[in-house]
Amino acid sequence: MEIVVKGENLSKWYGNVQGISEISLGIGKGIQGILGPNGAGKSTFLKILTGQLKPNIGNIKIFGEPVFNNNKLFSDIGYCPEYDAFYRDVTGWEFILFKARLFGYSEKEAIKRAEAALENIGLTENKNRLISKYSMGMRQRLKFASAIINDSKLIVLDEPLRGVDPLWRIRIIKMLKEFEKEGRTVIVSSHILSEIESMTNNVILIHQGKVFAHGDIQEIRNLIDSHPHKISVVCDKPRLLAQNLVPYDFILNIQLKDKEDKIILETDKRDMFFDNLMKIIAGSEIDISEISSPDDNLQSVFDYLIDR
Amino acid sequence: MLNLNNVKTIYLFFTKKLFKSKKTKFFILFSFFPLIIFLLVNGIKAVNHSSPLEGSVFFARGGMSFFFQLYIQLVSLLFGGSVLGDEIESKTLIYLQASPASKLSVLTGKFLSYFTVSFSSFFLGSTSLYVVTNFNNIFDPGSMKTLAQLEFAGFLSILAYSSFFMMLGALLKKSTILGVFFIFGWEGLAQILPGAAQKMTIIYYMTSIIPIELPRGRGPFNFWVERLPYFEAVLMLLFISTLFFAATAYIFYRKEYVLADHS
Repeated sequence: MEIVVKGENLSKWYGNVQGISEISLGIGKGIQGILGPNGAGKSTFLKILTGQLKPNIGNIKIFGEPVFNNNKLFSDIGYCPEYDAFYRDVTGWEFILFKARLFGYSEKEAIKRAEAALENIGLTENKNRLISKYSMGMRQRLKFASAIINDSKLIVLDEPLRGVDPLWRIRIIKMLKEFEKEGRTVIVSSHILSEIESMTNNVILIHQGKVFAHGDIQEIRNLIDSHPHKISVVCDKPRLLAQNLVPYDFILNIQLKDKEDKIILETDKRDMFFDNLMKIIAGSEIDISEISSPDDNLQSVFDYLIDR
Repeated sequence: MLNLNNVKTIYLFFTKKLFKSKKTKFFILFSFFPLIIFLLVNGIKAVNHSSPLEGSVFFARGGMSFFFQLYIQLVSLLFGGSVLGDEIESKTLIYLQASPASKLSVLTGKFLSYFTVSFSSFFLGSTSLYVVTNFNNIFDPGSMKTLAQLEFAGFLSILAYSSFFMMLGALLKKSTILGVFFIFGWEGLAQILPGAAQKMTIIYYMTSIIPIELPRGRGPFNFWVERLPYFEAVLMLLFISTLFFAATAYIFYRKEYVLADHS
């Protein structure tokens, strides 16, 4: 995997308050979700990533180059900050054109890009209105437009969907997935699990300034051996399946739901369960129509990690 | 380092933005204050059939005292201090920080923009006052020369004050309070302190290049002191401007600005 962002032993304090602590990670191409509750350290990490803050300890590199005071690097980075902060007395058009010009585009090219960016996020009709007259969702979309105006290889989005209406959420998520297909890197933070889940399976869980887990949701899930996995199996002979599973010590709990022809079981050894399930199926001619993991989502992993 | 295209982009954006702001409109209006007073007093005098205020005297005394002892300091404080101060307070600094423009380009573009607006408002007010108060001899070479020297003194003074207040804004969160203390406290007090204290003010050099005798200091500290030679004072004002601009650039380059609660 080509590493786009590499952080080593990053720690940051605000006086006596810890922002992040000993974060080491590598981020490759694609969409990378950064998840954590408010105050977890997500924004501190993103501020270090975008050169606003210097880590007290450790270092961070993007495309192999240090970030702080390395402005040339930002030709390849688009950033949508978390703050709902804009210049007063400026229209959406003036702002987006200014951003485009800062990237060094000629006036003609900047106008073309600014128009395209506003078109992409549905603000063309309102481009000549003062930003202060925009709704929060419109301001959020404008920030997003400013982050994508330069076709950057790396796009960093801090809570980009906050205040955005459902229709535009879907459109923005779709755009991010297109960026991923184009081979670009998108780092997106949120404290809302469903947002991240709708964008990517690749997450970094941050809590109390530390990385709790990093990787595919499933891989993260597998890391937590002691945490029981809930697995739901729909089959034609649920009682027989349950009887066959009871003897195994990796089965912690079985619930039988006759009406739905379903059993819900808990296991702390997921792989072992699946290996044995195949043997049971083959030996007792049970016809399985569905296997799913009802708690195999970010919320349950996240809740578990925080409570751990 | 310094990219002239970025400086131009930043300069044009912020100059346009500033000219639309309420603060600029207020200061432009405020620059007409002596003119309004002059017209008002002469209007009242005309109604009362008393002799009008002598225009050239009002311009030299009332008008220039207003501009050189109050207006220049205030406009420099509120514009110079905002070059970085506003960006930090409104958290818009991030749009400039996370851009390909170097910090030096950002600072240069913004400073030039804020200076342009500050000086324009001074120029507009002082020139209008000159035109009205010297209406009968506007093109008199002597008066024109005095006006040009005053504008030049205003130019250098705003440059020096603005760069100083810009540095305070880059360094401190509540820089305006310190700026007010500097203008209305230290600059007056230093005039009566023994030794070289008065040389640690900007007003000392500024008054040395004004072609009109103005009272030095303010309020209880209002008295006369010796002037510095003209060219020495000009050089000192240029040196102060350069020094504080360079100091601001250094601070801006080194300092990290925590714009919000960390989460």
